[in-house]
Amino acid sequence: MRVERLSEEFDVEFEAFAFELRPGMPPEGMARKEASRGRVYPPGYLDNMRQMAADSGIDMKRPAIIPNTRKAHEATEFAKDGGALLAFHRAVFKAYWSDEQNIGEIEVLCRVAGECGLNSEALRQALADGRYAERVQEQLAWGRAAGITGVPTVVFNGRFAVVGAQDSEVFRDVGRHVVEGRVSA
Amino acid sequence: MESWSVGFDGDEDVERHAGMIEVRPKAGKPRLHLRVVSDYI
Repeated sequence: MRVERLSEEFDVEFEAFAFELRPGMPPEGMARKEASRGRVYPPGYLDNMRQMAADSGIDMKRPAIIPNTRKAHEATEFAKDGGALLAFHRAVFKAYWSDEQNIGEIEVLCRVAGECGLNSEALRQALADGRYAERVQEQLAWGRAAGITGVPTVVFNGRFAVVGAQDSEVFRDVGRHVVEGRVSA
Repeated sequence: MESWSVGFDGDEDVERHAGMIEVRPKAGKPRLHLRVVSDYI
């Protein structure tokens, strides 16, 4: 993730917040063909995302299923508590976009968690209990209230937001402006 | 210059009292909190 490179210059505290690009997605997900029917996308609209993924060693494909990501977000909170947030976040992204796994399935999430050194059985139980459901709901509500409509959105020190997969230099420049107080909300 | 530092090697407190060196606070990296709002799809 390009934004991680900010650690070279700043003492960065990362916080992952959930967002649903497709709220109301059925729990089992939806075939991409069906989900995309009637939608028109500009040519190359995914190019920047693909390049960002490639920078992180992830070969972005076009998975046939668009999953419901609610459980993946809950699992992300589990990983956060387990001290493996960045590793898990990257691994889930790779599992979906590169390995074309259905990350709406608890089995897939538990396997990825195990590969990140997390306790997969504890995750399974946490997802079954809905232990992180409220936390994710709060994050989704925050995003709606903040007017966020696209991802990734990176909010710097709670004051300034950058939307989209930008170059590292953009994140770095914004970081400098924010810490020097040269931008206002 | 008179110094207390005889017998001490690299003790910044002693050397500072002796006026031998100017010790400036180490500049840390500026702190940045990043809230990354994202979905996996």
